[in-house]
Amino acid sequence: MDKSNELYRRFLQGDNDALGALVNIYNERLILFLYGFVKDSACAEDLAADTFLYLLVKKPSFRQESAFKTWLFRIAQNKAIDFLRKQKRYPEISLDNIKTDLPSSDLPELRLLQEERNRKLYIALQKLPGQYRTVLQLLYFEEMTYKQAGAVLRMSEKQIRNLSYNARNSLREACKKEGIENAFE
Amino acid sequence: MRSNEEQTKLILEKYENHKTKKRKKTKIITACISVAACLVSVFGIGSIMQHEPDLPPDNNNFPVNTQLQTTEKESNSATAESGVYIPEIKIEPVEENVMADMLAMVKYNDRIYVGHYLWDHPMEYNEHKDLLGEYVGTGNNKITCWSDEKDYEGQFASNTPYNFYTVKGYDPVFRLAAVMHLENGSFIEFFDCLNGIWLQTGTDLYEDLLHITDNYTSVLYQLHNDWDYGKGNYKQLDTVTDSDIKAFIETLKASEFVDLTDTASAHEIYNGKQAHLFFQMHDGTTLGIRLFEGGYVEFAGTSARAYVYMPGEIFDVIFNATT
Repeated sequence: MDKSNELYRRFLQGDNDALGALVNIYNERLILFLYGFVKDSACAEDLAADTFLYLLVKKPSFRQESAFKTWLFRIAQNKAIDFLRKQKRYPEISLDNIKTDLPSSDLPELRLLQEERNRKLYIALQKLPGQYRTVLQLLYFEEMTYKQAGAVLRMSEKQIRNLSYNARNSLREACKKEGIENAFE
Repeated sequence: MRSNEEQTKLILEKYENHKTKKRKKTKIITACISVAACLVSVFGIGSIMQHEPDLPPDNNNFPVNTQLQTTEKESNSATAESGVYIPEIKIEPVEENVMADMLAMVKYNDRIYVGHYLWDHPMEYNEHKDLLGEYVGTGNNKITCWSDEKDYEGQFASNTPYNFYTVKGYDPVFRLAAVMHLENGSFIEFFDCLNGIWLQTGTDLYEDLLHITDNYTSVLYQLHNDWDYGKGNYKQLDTVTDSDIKAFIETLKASEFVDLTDTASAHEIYNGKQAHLFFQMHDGTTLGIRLFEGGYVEFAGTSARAYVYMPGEIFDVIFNATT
């Protein structure tokens, strides 16, 4: 059984150490994920804190047939969308709106990625439109299944397949420019 | 960057602050309720004067509508005994609300309006501002995952900060427009109230609310594969006659809505063949509809799951020409 599910169950029963354990597991991954939306390290860090804070305040239950991870990332995405809406910005949804600004190589988030290759991949990922970036981050960095990614993004498995197909094609082009070959091997 | 331990400590500190604020808020609310109760008993129940909104920054030429005009429109023939009921959307804090969609929404005259957006047909402000009627108010931008009961109350409770207007040619009971000033430009987005209503025939939606008859300049279609992959590739629907399109619309209006809730069909039709039509309306807007194999028609760009069922020859003519 997923350890996270068990930790969250213990947390709901009043064990705050279990919350600390969940932070250890997910904090950095959430920051990486949230950076893709807000493009600001400090903001991504704060939103990650808010995601966990939501668990403390609301103590929502979740249907345990799904992975805790899927559900947590769904909350995080809601936080990011909420934040961007308050900033009077939508997250990118246009397939033509490709971001060209890259995170600097000193970006704290990149220190979370151990391998150089993953760092380059992450930089290339930031060049993609929002949905492409989000779906690949979930599938590749979070190793979610299509079904789990669909649960986070509120899409069907088929839509995730279609989206990831197009996203991988775009990423291949972006990776070539970063000097990464065979991005998905 | 904070370490995991520092992050956990911060989260617990924020939680303590949150609990403290909540305790103070509870005391204030209790005090206010006591005062309000006294006032009501002294002055009696009356209407509360709305604070006159400032002129919206979008266009200072628009008159400010301080009297919120509502029309109790008997817009359709559906009654509580017939037709399909689209359940009312309720916005309220829910403990297990994590699966809620983050739809843009606003509360106006106790009705919930939801952002209606066709991704490939954005309405640029400068091109479409003539659609805007009167300014009615501004979203309070207070609704978030943290919201408590107070944030959901009142006119223009919303998760957006946009200025809202009536839309020329559309009933404000059904449709408002929001003006959004974003980094990539200014846009207008419709917010539709398609919940808490009965729909019996296509006329109730497509004519009474959307005014489709003889109100379009052209019809485009998009193959489902292109729609699914977000490829665009819109084509003029010129392989059918104008008469066929008119006949399709008349049949659409005359056909009844069906309730597919909790049926296998509700999911199956999305796995079958589909077509996407876009009527370019005289007022510059786009009316999208989605056709499903078997005769089902859905109003596109909305979260309401309402289907007109119109199997038959004219449906097949249009469906076959667009798939």
